[in-house]
Amino acid sequence: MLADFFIGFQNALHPMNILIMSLALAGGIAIGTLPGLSATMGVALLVPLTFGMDPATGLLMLGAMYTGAIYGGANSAILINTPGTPSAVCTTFDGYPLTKQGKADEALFTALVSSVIGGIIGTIFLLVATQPLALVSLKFGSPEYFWMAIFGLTIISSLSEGNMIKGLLGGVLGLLLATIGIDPVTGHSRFIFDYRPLIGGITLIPAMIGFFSFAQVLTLVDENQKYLAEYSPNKGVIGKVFGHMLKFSKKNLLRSSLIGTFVGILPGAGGNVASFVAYNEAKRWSKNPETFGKGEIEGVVASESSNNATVSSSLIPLLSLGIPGSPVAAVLLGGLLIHGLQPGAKLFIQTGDIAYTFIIGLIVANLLMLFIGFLGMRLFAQVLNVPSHYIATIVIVLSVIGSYAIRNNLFDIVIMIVCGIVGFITLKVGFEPGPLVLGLILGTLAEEGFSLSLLMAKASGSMFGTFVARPISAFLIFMCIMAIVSPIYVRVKKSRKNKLENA
Amino acid sequence: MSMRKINYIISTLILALCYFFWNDAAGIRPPAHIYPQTVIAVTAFLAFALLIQSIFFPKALIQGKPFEGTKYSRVITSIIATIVYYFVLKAIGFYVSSFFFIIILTWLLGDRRVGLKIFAKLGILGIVVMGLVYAAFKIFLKVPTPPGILF
Repeated sequence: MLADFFIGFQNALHPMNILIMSLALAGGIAIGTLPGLSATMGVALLVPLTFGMDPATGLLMLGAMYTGAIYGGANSAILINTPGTPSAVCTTFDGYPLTKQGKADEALFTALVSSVIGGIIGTIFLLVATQPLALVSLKFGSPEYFWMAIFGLTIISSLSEGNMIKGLLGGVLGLLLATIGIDPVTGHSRFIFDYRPLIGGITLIPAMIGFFSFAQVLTLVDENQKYLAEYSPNKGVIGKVFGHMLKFSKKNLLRSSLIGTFVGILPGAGGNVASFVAYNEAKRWSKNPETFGKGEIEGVVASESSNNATVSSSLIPLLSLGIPGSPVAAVLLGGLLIHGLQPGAKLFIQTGDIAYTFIIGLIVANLLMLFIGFLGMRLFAQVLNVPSHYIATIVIVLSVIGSYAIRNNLFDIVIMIVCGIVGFITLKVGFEPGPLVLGLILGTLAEEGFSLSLLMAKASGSMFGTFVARPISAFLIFMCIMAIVSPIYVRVKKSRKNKLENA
Repeated sequence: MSMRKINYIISTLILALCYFFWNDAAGIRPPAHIYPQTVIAVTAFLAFALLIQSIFFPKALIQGKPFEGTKYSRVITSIIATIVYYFVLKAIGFYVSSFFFIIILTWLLGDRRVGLKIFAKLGILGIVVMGLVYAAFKIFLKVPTPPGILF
């Protein structure tokens, strides 16, 4: 094993592999930045290119593309309030307000460093704890997934700044939208009201592009300002960000990366769920929770470190058990099989050198991303120097192609436009898009978990035994209660303290 | 329009939506109806709570008039242009329609000066943007774009 590890180390640092990883990273960052183009698409596009390559090099290229694409989503989230990937939704909450405050480069560099650290922590777990973590993930059944989704939904209480009822209403409306289409239990269509195109449901990506991107364009047009935000490169931003992170963000970084690592190994959950959970926890543990959503750098740290930690951890079930837990892992499985590699325990026994090259390569890719991302960041930030009416038009064109690209379906463009108009109006009347999109993201996970658990309960004859009396479910229920009760407790304690101070 | 009145309209609309969804859910075979009906019931409850809050606790609402100062002409222009763009791209294809969309909407949202220089500038913008989109999506990523009779 040690010999394989050292061979992997040597291979990962080979100049040709570094060059290929750098190119794949740059491509991944560009794909992640463009809304609608997913990491899965980027990795799938590269698979044919790996045919003629050495298996280790091919896998390194795919891993670097995946890493770059997940990070790339932060650029558009911070600069134009449009998450490039669903896992960057939480990055918009504080990233865009920071841009509005003239701190775009600070937010971009924080996102980059957090992504790198999250990615490295996730990869370390992939390296040292693949087997035990994969076994824990196997203990997750439908009831646990249901409670996991409910735990994710508890974040709505912290996303509802102005009016709690509106925040909750936005969340359940998202859940309701997610029920449109085919019923996962019976396979019958529902809530389509005889309109056939709705049979495919409200697809997440076009809806997300609509709620964030098109709605943001309409807001820009309404504001009628010459530029998106004031921007001039700040000197010393690198030192400032590193200084802040070393001093204040260590706990947040570690906690969010661990959340990302753990959520990432669960099949079906991914960077989007991880970033919401990590953001919620960062806010809950913060001394200044009221600054979240208004340009709090710790919000960017939580979101970006957690979503990039899922990159490596989502590969844990694939590499150790041969189970692809995410769409990208499924594409990577194809890549492994093409090269004659058998995922699972055999991968480490028969082709340990390749397995370790890939894992150590992911650490190298994250370090390379620090340089490539930094160069790209300077380029992307120039967007803020383009007049806003130019940006508005170009973003609409990219939103159209991004919505269409997912399923090659013109109806997805209609979904994007409708969600955009609704998003613009709801923003005006105090409904934030965050809870709505969170409901859409978690809706499928919650429903599948609930419906299958219900069938399990019927078969076992015990509702309590299925939903509550399972160790992981009980833990998740406890976490849900804590997530709801602790902000109320903190609020009451704070108001009492204020009253005492004023008295 | 005040936030209070807007909340009346929103809660009424959501309650009506819940009514339609609930009727449709009644036809779903058990036990598949439990989850959607639970979500509908919670949505209706929250919409009702918003209505009650607006009637009896107006102080809890964000004060002010949310649509005050909205530049309706610019927003509606953008929405109509995007809808027209959707129908045109369905007919003639993505690249040609996007080129004209960029020129027209950028001009409409700008200061609307008329002149050869302005349109030449917008034309160059359209060519550059669509060139980059073509290179990225068609050549490199091989992502299909909406087809039409032209390009």
